[in-house]
Amino acid sequence: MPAEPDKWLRAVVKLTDLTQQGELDWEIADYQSGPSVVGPSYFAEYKDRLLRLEKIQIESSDSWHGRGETVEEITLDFVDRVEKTSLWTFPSSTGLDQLYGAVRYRTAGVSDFLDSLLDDD
Amino acid sequence: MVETDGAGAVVLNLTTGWSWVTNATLSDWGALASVGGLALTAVVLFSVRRIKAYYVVRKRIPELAKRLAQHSLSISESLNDFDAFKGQLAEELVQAVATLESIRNKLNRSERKQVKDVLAELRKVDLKDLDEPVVRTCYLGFLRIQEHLKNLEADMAWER
Repeated sequence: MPAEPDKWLRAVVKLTDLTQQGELDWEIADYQSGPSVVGPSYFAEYKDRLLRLEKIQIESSDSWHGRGETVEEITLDFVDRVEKTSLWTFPSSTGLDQLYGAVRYRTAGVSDFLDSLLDDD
Repeated sequence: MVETDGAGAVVLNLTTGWSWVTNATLSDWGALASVGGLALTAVVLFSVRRIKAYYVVRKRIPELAKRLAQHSLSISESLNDFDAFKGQLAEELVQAVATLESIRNKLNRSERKQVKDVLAELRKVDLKDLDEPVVRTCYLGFLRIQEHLKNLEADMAWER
């Protein structure tokens, strides 16, 4: 199925585009979904689905990183609205790191800060 | 020794073959050894190229893949505020072209298509007047190549 990985990649890139263009709003959750989560969890609603984006620490099992080594991975899930438990996890994809970066940039309000900082001059 | 029958099919005539063996002069054997040597040289050359390609993929491609991932990350960060980071984007795209050309030259012909397509897209980019959708398309192309290189390296790990 060579088309499938590309489908996930395109979906992640589209979410990144929407985030960067301000069409998808993410919010920081007031809790963490598990002990392996590093930093805040982010939530967004898109097409009647609740999405959750997190950075987790796991023990690597592939030779790409080296077996047994602790690596950080970004996970994107559909989550249950009430329980906030994962209903489904997106497959690991190359663009997830950049999606996480874009979400951090938006939620931290970096762009507004830079604009207001430079307006003071 | 090797003849064609009436229907044009190639047949091996053993009797003629044996008669060649018994009547062959030293010069005939020398000619045969030359042809055999040439064939052996071709096999060795092919094997050396395969071994070289294997080590290039094992050692050099991961380095270039990391560099490409760095370009992708910088481009994605710049796309957080396209207008503010246009200058940085242009610089990053120029560096990415060099990395992609290096990757293209190290891949087999059959694996180059994806890289060539992205390079063709990149050459259309006007660096003095960047167009956001075009940069986003190139960015997606970079991620596709990263996935491809990752799969390629994983496949090579199973080969030996």
